[in-house]
Amino acid sequence: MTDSRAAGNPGAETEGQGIDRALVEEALRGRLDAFNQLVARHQDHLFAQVYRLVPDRDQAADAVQEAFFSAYRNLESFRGGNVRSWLGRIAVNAAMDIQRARRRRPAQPYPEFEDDSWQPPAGTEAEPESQALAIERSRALAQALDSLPFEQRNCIVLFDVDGYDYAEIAGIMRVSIGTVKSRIHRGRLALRHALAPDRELFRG
Amino acid sequence: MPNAAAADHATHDELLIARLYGDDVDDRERARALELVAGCDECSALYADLGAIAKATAALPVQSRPRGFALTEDDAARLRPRRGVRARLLAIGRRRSFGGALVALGFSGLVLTSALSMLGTAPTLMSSNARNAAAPAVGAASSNAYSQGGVAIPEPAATPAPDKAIGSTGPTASGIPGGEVASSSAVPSTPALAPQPSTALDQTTPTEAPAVAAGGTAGEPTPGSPPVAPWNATPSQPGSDWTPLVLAGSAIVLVLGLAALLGPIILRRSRGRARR
Repeated sequence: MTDSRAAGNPGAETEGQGIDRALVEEALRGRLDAFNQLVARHQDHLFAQVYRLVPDRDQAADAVQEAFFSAYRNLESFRGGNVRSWLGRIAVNAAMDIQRARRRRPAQPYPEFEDDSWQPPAGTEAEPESQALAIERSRALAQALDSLPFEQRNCIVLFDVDGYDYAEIAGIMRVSIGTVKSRIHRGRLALRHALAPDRELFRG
Repeated sequence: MPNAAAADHATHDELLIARLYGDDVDDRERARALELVAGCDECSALYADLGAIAKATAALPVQSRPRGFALTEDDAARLRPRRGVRARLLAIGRRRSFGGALVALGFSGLVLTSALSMLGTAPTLMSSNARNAAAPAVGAASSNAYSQGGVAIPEPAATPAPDKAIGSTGPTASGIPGGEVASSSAVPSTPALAPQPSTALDQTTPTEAPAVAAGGTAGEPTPGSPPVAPWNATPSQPGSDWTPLVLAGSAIVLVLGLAALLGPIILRRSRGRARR
């Protein structure tokens, strides 16, 4: 992930990377608890990332679990660098596998948005009216995202949410940078078209 | 004039506006896109909507994970890289280029060695085999002489000179009643052989050994024995004995390469069948 687009300060990022690499080395020596510390450090982030690509909690959880299995199996292939990005790439690939299966067997997207108990995290929009608007907006956006071809959705999510740049997305999805750009631009237009009935939600 | 504006907008390139938002335009396209955004309300709204949607996408709420993903000991045992032959085969198979290189190497080794042996060294090999078949008793001795770089020099039985032939093997040792096998270093120091060496050394090649072994004299092939190669014929190289080894080695490399290439595919298919 490009540092300028990634959240967090660079010092903490470097320290975190050092810890990650040390844990990888320990795990390579056969210490399972070291690997599980890696899991604990990254599972929230990876689940959030995968959930935006696979809008079904169980399937997203399966994809994340499969990603950690794959990471453990291929720990020796880690060539240094950013562990978080490496795990992210594995998770995105696992999510894409799930998406291909979903395309053959569609499921109800984002069932959590239908659940009244679901609430967005408390933030600046503390007023009930703003919160209600945020929930509506998220629900509409999530459904519109799910209506996109998953290639376009992946590119948009990886770029807008996860902060990868064009080249990184091209590497993850194994397509050219031009294809990634095209998917993002056309996907944004398609997203706007899908959100036409709810457009006012985004213009407030 | 909303209808006129909408009609105008229909001719505008929305993808260009999206590319402007994604900062994927060159200078000329940027100027054109900014012109559209500034002069067309629909284009302007499109540009604003793209920004709002991207912002909302980035702010999509994060779902809490339904469970932890820590690996158990059982998971680890199941996933731990296997060190058996099968795992090694899989690992090699992943490197397809390695398998391909092995196949190419083995195949070219087979083809080249076979071609060379058919073109040049096959007759020598055959005569070598015939020699071994015809004179198994002398085989060891003559092979020893070849391996020492020497030449088998026949010697009349009446001229025993074991004390002068340094490094030679005696008649008893070689088992040849009519001659002995001497190393080349012994030749100059043997006066009794003085008239013979020039012809013997010039004309006698290792291929003549069978004739000698069969009881003939130097330069006189025994009837029924293979014809003696002329002095300037391609000599039988000691290296030609390696041909079968090279062939076998190439075949092994070829088989290994094929196993590296095809093994994982076959394993994967069998796994897939087992899953189904």
